[in-house]
Amino acid sequence: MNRAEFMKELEFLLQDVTDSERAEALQYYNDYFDDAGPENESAVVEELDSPEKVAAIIKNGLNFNDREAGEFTETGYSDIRFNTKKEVSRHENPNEKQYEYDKRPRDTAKIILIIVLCVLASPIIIPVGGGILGVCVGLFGGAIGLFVALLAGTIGLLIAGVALVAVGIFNMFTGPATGLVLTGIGCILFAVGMLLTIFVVWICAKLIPCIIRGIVNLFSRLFHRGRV
Amino acid sequence: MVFNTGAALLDAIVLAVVSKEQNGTYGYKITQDVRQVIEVSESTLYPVLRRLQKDDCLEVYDMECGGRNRRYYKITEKGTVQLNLYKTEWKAYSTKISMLFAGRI
Repeated sequence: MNRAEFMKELEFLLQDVTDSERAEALQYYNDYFDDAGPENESAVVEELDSPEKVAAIIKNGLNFNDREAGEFTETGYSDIRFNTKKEVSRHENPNEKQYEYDKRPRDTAKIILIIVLCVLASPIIIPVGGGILGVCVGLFGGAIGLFVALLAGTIGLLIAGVALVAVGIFNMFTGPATGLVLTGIGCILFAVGMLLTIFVVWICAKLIPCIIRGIVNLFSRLFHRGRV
Repeated sequence: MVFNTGAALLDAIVLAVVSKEQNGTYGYKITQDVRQVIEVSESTLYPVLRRLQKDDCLEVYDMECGGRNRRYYKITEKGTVQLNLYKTEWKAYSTKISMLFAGRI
């Protein structure tokens, strides 16, 4: 970029300041280039970094009392709000230089946009959401049903086992073989019932709290995603 | 070393540099002189000069030089008072620190 381009760009960037301020600033920098001499023109352009930076520094100087913002560091006096990150070399596209100065929070705009989007899309979101919700409820109901069945089955087996053992022992007196068979089957049923009991207890103690924790984690991650 | 300093010190330096010339100096020369003392970017000084001008610590006048108008900055009475204030403050501030570093406090 040469002086003419630099000054033209600077003038463009200063459109939103008052005419007198813009004139003052442009005169200052034109004088500056003149006093540096044409032989120093490219050095000055290099040292001034970019029209964007100069414009922002000027505007900032007009708006805020930025007395506390600058600091002296080992690389000289600098205002961290105006640091440009020089990428690879000067000859690259100047637009690639990243440049940051006091950012207004853009997150509120994003949130508003999301809300508007939700409202507009609600005719689709509500039925689809309802469907998904229905599926979830159905799955949940099914799981509960299975659990109840398991519980009932376990209790039934335990009772049946005990009952058969009792009948079997009773039949021992009338017919030993039948009695033994009945008792044996009763014991087996009881044992299976015990196993199922253990299984049910495990479900209540471990599986369900685990599932609950998982669901809570999912929800907290969903809701806290926006926060830093 | 990195020492954080407010822009007040920069104001003081600029005022001191301008006050060296009885009849004032121009932007380019001011920048060169300041850069002999501290490292600053050439774009830093314009807002400082502008602010000092608005605070009536500096006044400007144009002088014809080599076929073009050159803008000169000159220190005012108020600017001189401000500069002396800065000098006193600086002396107190830096002396104490120097004495501490030299082990005399």
